[in-house]
Amino acid sequence: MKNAKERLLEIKNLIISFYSYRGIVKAVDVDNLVLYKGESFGLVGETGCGKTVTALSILRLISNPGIIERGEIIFNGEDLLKKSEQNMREIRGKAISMVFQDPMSSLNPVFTIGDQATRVIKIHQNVGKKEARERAIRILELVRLPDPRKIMGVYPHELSAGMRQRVMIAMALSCNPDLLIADESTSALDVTVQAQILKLMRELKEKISASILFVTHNLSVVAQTCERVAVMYAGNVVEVGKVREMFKNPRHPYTIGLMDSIPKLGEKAKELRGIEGMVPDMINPPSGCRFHPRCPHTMNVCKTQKPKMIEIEDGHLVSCFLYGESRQV
Amino acid sequence: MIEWFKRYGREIKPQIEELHYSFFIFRKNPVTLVSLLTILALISIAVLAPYTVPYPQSALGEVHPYEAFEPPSMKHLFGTDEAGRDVFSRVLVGTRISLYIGVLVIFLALLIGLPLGIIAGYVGGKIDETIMRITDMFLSFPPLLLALALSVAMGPSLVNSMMAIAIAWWPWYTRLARGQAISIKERPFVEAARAVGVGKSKIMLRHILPNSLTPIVVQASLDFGGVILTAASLSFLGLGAQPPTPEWGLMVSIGRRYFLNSWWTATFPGLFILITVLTFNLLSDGLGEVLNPKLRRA
Amino acid sequence: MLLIWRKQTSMKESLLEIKHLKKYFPVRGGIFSKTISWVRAVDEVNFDIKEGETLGVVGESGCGKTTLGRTILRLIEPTEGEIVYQGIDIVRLSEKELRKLRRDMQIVFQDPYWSLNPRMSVRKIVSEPLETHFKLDRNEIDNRVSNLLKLVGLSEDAMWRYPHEFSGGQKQRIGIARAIALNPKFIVLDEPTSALDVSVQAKVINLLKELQEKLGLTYLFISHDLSVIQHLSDRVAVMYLGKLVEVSSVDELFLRPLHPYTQALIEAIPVPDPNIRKGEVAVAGDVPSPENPPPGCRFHTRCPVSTLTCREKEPKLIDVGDNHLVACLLEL
Repeated sequence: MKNAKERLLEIKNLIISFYSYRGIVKAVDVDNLVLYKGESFGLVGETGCGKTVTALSILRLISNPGIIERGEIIFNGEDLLKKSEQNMREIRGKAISMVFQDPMSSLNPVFTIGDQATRVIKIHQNVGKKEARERAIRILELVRLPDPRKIMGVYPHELSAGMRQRVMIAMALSCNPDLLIADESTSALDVTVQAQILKLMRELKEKISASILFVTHNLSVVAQTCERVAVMYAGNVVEVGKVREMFKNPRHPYTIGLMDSIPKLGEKAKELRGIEGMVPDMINPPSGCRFHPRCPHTMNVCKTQKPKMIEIEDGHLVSCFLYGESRQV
Repeated sequence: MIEWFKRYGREIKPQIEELHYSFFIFRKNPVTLVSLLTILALISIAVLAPYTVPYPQSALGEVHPYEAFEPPSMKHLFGTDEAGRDVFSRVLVGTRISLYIGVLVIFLALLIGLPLGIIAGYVGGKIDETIMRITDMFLSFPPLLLALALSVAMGPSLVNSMMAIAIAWWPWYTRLARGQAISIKERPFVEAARAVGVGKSKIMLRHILPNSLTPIVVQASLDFGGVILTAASLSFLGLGAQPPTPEWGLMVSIGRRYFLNSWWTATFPGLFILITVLTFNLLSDGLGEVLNPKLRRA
Repeated sequence: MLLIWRKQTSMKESLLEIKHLKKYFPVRGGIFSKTISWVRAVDEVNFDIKEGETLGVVGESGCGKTTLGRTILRLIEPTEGEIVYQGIDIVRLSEKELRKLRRDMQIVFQDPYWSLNPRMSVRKIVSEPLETHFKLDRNEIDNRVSNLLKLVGLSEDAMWRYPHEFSGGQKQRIGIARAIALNPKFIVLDEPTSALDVSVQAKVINLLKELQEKLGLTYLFISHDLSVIQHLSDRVAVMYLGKLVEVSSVDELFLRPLHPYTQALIEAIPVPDPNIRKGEVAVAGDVPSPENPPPGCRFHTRCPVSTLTCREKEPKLIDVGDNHLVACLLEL
């Protein structure tokens, strides 16, 4: 069933480094990551795991001191890393668009919502002013904003955070992208507003054909909105799989540790178990498997060799020596 | 004894790391590197000049009327001035005077301006209003004009001109410091200190002041050049250093009269003013970069 | 059996009693900066905290929980009301008298980055409370600081380093060490884990629990995250736009949430279980501004079951049994 789906995005052998005073930060080292058309995919991990850098690299938004050392990002059959800046500008906002975390600083305070929404449409679609306005109003309706016509004339600071985030989502969807990247797009919102936005994202998934990549540190958000998920740690992807499967049966020790750390409602008596140790120094990441210093099941091989990504069951991949080599991917 | 050293070493180790980091940033940018080296050169000139220049008496006022207005040559690298003194020696010794002026004036201005600004920003209320009214009064004058007026009032001398400039300069630091104090006092670590019961003056000294320094240090290094220029201007107008002091501004002022025939008497001191002021300007840029917390490693 | 249990709880003294607490911030406008309106950040709040217990205060942005925490410590001066600590109303105390009391009441902040002075060594940060209140020599201070650091799970030589060399979780531990330096009885924890990764959060929560038992602390735990509150609190108070809308024991709150807002909050929390997809979102719209709170019951504009009376009458916090308090007209 999976093979019937077409691949939208494939990241291969991506290495991104940041050159700093103290040395080279080996921020991202992803062997393989695949996104299919029309799916909602979660990229989850804690601070410093490299998920945001990975997401930004898809849009080639990595700048000094960060450098994409090597790799391929294949989108709709073409390698984005080989495209010119001019080509990338045509892709950004149109084929791939992004919604950021802070709704307050993502919108320009001196232009009205209408100005900003129509500008995006005019840049990527060859339509006149009037038509662009109509399209803008239609997408504002799509994100369930009350009275879209009125909102067109309003400035960002007059809207609440939740509404601003809806505007951002609308603008990101205005040109019918194939891929929408949501980078921690609900982390700055109150929990009741977040619930509304997540519900909106779920509804939108039904209506549009785009794939959505949710980048977040919040596993619960992923559980609520995504079909598949990849867990990142210290720049590596450690586990990928269907959400239902992963939450029922997490395999990688880091994923297990992460799930154990989440305080769950109704389980008060259970003591929260964190993960021993600290996030490693990315200038000198641990040898072999980057998680080995903190792993409760470390073996000798973990310290010297980096585990490969193996498929242990349909669609569920892990990068860990605890799991035998059934099928190499 | 050894204990003391061990302890001291541990306490300043982070500072040494900071210094190392600062030099790294400096090294990266060629412009700031050049300015840093130039300043080191100027400082060494200032320190060593009186002992190493070829004609130290020239700086002290010995005159050789028969050797006046000699053009630059191997004997007198920068020529001689209207009294036959070696311009080269005078210019180099003048470096000491100018740097001295810069340091003293800025120190004085900071001494007055910093505490006033921090108190105004942190304490707020009526005290803030009072201090800022006074500061605004001073700020409404262009600093050169104010220094000028004060110099005239106090009588022309180097010391008086320095005091005049310091008085004209302090309000700028007050305003800067106040802005910093206002934003820093909202930070959680200040609230934490209040929660612990630390008194107002200790908070201002230990918490507000050290964290306010960044823009002030940048401004002060920029001002170095400005102060030296102002002092030179006052001397140029006859209000600062008096002859025979080898102060650059004064030398330009006197040399100006003979410029058409003996260009070297005014040009070389003027050149040194240019180099010094420019160097400090560039240095302050570099410092700004170094002290910018955005560049700090997390 | 029930009688004995009741007796035991009432024998526990109330460490802190908050009565009619109000904090209004003036909003200035116009050419002359006249006060044109008030932000009612904390509006008539009453509750008790018993010794040794943890009271969780939960709410979203603008509800006043942060202001509440700071006002209780008089870091912000209350507009009205009494804060009675061990029988003394601390609002009436002078600066000098308050200073002595500061030893008993401390605070841990949300932002690990800015809660420590970046220019002070860890030793200086943790020893500052000690130096302010006691005259101790250098070695004595070194000892105490190293003990405090060990208590919060950091190594002794952390003393000599600066805050920027530590991770977020470690910075929070330093903040906690500073808070317990004077052996306080009561600590306000202002969202201490909200800025931390979930695996680090777990460890810090465990540390806070451990310290509470070891040192006999009483906590006021402020958070927007109900699941974290559930792990650490004995009783919970739910705040909305400056008012308490529900107060009860933590088990009772999750078993029988009575106020529609509490129900909405619980419903809104994303659960790490993909099989439980939250269907209907119980509340619409965004949180209104505390400057112009809606008339009557402040929640009525977003409440799914509001009636006409809710727009006119303001509900009072009443006990509906078992020490479970709600402020909702529908409970009458």
